Amino acid sequence: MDPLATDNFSNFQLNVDALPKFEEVKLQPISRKYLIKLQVGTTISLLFFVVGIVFGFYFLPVEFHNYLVWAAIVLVLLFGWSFFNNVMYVKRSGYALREQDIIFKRGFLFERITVVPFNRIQHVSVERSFMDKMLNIATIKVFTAGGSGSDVSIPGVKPQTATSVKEEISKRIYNHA
Amino acid sequence: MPDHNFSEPQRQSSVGLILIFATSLYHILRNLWVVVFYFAIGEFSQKTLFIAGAAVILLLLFSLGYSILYYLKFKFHIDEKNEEFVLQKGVISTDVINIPFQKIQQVNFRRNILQRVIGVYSVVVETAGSQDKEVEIKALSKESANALANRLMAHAEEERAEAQEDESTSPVTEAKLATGASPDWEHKVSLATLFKLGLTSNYLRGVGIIVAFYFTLREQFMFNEELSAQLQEQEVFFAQGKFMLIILLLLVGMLLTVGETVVKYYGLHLQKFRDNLQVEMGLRNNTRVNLRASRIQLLQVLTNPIQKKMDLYKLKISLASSEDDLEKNQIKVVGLPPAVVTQVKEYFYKKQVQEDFIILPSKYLLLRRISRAMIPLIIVSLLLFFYAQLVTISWFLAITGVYVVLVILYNYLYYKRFRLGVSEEFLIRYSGVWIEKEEYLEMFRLQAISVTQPIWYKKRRLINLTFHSAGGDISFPMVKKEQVQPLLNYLVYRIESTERAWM
Repeated sequence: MDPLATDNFSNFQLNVDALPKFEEVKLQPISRKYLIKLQVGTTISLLFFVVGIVFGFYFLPVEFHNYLVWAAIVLVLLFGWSFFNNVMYVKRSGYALREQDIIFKRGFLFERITVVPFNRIQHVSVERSFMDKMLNIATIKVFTAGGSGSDVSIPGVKPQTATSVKEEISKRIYNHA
Repeated sequence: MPDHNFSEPQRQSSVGLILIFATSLYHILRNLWVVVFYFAIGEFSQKTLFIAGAAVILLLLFSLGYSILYYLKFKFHIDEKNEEFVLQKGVISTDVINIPFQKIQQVNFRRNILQRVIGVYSVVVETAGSQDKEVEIKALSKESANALANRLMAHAEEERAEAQEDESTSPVTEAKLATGASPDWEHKVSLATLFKLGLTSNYLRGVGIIVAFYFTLREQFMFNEELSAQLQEQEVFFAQGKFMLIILLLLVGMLLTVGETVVKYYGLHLQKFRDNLQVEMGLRNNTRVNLRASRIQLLQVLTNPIQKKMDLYKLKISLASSEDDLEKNQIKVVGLPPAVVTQVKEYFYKKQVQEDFIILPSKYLLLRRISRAMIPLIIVSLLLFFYAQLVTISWFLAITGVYVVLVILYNYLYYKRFRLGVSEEFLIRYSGVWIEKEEYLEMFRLQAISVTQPIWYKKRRLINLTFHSAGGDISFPMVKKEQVQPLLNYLVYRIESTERAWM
């Protein structure tokens, strides 16, 4: 076929039945221990508010107590939702490595799936905070050139798994470079 | 003596010393202007003045010495063996910056007023790394600057060609010192065009500045005078001169906008050479950028209905940027007729870009946008309900009616225009009601793809798409999952099946 002659003619069709489908990939769940980390974080911020309200009860004049009760109710609702959201977040999040890319799904209210092909990854790192060390989990961070929107950070992965995933990805990036 | 091989470490052009000194003086003045002001206003004894004078002279001498040292220590060269550009600088601690050729993104020229007066060019080497994003050599003669830029770009391009042999980037080396040659095509944007452009731009921004200025002024005076009297006078004045005031505001806003446009884009000149597109512009800061097709990440074409009639199109060209501040790494070219836009696109993309099919957002997008615009209306009505005596019912209904009609019309136009074109190689997003915008993204430049789905979309099987590129994201909300899932899989396949360098 002469490419010049076909220049203005186009009959491109998405023939994708044979292509692998990322939406059907079975995802690895993230560790339940990450839920502990989330809940501890939420509890700490809750404590700040509780202390604030308790102080209010002791030091504010009685006519303000009415408002404090309302504040407490709002607080209970807000943090109740927050705790529930944490549970669902961990339940719904997961990741998968395919031959050519990494898929990460997270979120409950706003579910977000990001697919990052290995040949677009700039570098990978494994990070562990103090809490992570206590709980024996790690976070895999994948960086791309597409800005923070396309960077992926997968929390709650077993440290050994995280390291091997990192090495696996590094190896595959190297193959592309 | 400047050798144009740049193989030996060498200094900047000697007039550069003036530039360094002037810059350091400027910095001193900027930091110490309060002190200067203080001395200019107050009255001081002879002794104090004498000490102050001595201090100033000392400071000047110190600054001069520093500038000379800085000039002497600032050296650069091209290390052919290690394939890198080396820059040494620093008076007290020496800083050596090595930029490997393959990291070089762009080599641009920049000139401010002083640089133009003393006839030197700034050569700016932009890299792909995250720190030290750009390196600037501030004072080179025109010949040196040209030679250096050409050499660096040629080296960078060689590196790229080696990195991807399968691509047909063939005779790069021959095209090397092509800057002396005449361009394939060129386009100059005249001053008249810039005026037209300024006049048809959005001058609400200019008006905004003035309004803000006015309010700060008024606030100042309000607190000084007797409040009530002042207020009443204001009211009277305002009622009489309201119309004049608005017209005056618009006029000044217009002038500001025209001025801004002219200063920014003065002397805009596009030159297409064999392997790059040179863009030169600016009155206060004159810049020259060498664009290479291989580095363009995202292209936006913008116009509004009036400018469209006058053949004024704007291009925003995004290069790879390591920061999230994507605006900064965008090159804006304005006032182009459609023919030139086509030429630029042809250079960037080699062939015509034409979509094969279109993806439309779900009609719920229109519904959502309209219902969201109703929220402020509801809030206002609720407030009015409590303070009912403020407005009469008929007035309220009239305003509401107009608002609703406008909102529906605007969002309908928005929805009509909003679509995603897909060709074999490209994603094209069309958007905008007044400012019509087309965004072109080559599929293989994609970095990643995100799909988001709020929980309440699930029943309707809708998703939002975000296409991440190194020049920014393109998002497309509320599409049917079944409709786009094949496209997404195809895109992933397209990214993964190519070894073509995206940068």
